[in-house]
Amino acid sequence: MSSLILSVNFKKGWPCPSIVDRVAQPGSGVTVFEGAVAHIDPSSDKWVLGISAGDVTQTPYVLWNGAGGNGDQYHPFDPTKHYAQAGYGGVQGISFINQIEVETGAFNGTPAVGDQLYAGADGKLATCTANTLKAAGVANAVVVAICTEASHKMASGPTNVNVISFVPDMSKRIITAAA
Amino acid sequence: MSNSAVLNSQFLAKIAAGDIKGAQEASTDFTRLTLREEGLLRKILPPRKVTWADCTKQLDTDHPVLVVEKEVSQPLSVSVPFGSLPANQYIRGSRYRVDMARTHTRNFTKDKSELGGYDYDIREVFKDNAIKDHMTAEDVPFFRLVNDIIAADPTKDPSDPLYQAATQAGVTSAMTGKVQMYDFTAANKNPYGLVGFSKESVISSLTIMSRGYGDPTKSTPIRLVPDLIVMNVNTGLEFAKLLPTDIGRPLAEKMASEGLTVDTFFGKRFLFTIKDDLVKDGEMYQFAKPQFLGVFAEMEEPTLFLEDRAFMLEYFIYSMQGCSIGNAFGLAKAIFPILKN
Repeated sequence: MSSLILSVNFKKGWPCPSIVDRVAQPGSGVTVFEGAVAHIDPSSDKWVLGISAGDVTQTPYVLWNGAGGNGDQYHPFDPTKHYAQAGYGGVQGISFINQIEVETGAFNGTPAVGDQLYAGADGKLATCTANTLKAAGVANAVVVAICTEASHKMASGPTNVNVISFVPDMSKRIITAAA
Repeated sequence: MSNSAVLNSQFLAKIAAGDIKGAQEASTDFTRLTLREEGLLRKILPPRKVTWADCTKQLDTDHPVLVVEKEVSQPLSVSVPFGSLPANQYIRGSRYRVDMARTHTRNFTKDKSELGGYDYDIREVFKDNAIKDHMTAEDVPFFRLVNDIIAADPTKDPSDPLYQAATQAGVTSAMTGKVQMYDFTAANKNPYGLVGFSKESVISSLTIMSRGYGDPTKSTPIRLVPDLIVMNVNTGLEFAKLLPTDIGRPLAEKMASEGLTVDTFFGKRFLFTIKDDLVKDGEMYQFAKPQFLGVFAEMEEPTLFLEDRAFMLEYFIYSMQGCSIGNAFGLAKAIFPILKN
């Protein structure tokens, strides 16, 4: 990250003392970022991006504090540097079980208001209809959110960031690609 | 009524009288004292108190970040004939960053009416639960970092043999390129061909850090000496097995009668910890003096937050700190074959 650009914003629900959240480290080879949708891999207890049909029993989280990478709270060990930081901090995820409304820059395509959204393996949300799934080469997808505001600009730092707004949908419906 | 029960009553009386600040301060002092006594990292790198005024704004975060100056390597002096002028060398320093992060315990809650029924000091509750959690949160990432620095392949999981693949010469650090670990569980995993915990193997392990590293034709080789050596008490008891011919009759007799009461062996300071989950049996960590190792910066000392609402008491401990190893050559590790559970 080269600046303080905000790519996720909680319009409703956070901060809140009763929020359900989770702090964990990214899984091996997983590059996390603010606003990405992820779940906890039950075998490693670490973040994995997206929610596939095989992860349908897992709870989705939107990644927030500490997900910005270098210069943020979490410091992955890098042997190529001439110094090393102890890995204090972690990556916080806000659970989809909460009553939240979120603006995130982590999306693909052009979701419209009311679209069912799934979280791809890149951690980004996309419209979840059978035809678009087929076009995107996604076999099956789990609905995790509903789009409440189509792509719009969110003022952040020196630039405006394209974001969509969504609310979680924990119905766990699976949409098949072949329709 | 036991003394502990009296203390509990007094503590609760303070809370009942609305003296939350008094109760908070008393417990905070107790917390800090215990952390100083029992926190391993705090002994290896004594915390440097910092404020926002010591920190430097960054482009990539709005968190507090301390920037620390670092000694640089430079070309050697050369012997020349008369009439020769020195070559120019432009000066540029080196720095590293220490990002601050928050650590806190869980928010412990309890109905005060139930607390009064305990026969032990309420502050023991803080000590046993909250403070130990806090210490672990400080120490575990630090020792993970130390192992990553030493590791042959830090991208592997520590349980993977390739993480610390030992060779005849020892384990070569992927970060520094220097051998920073000798393994005395097999003769072919250390350059001395030694096996076991012995006077010879312990003394040989002390040479890991002091062994010069670097091209002596380009710059002065890096040589450091271990200042503090950490092992768990199980491994430390191996010293008591050494013979009088190894460590001298007075020391052997002292340990035979008093146990592991000595903390200096072969001229080095040893710290024996009971945390055998953190420093495992057979492991010996060596650290250079703090000024040659890194920085443990503390922006918020461990502080106890206490809230009293009606009959419910809740508390948690929080602090803000960061730790960086600026000189990865300032640490080493040895492994000895100790019988494990």
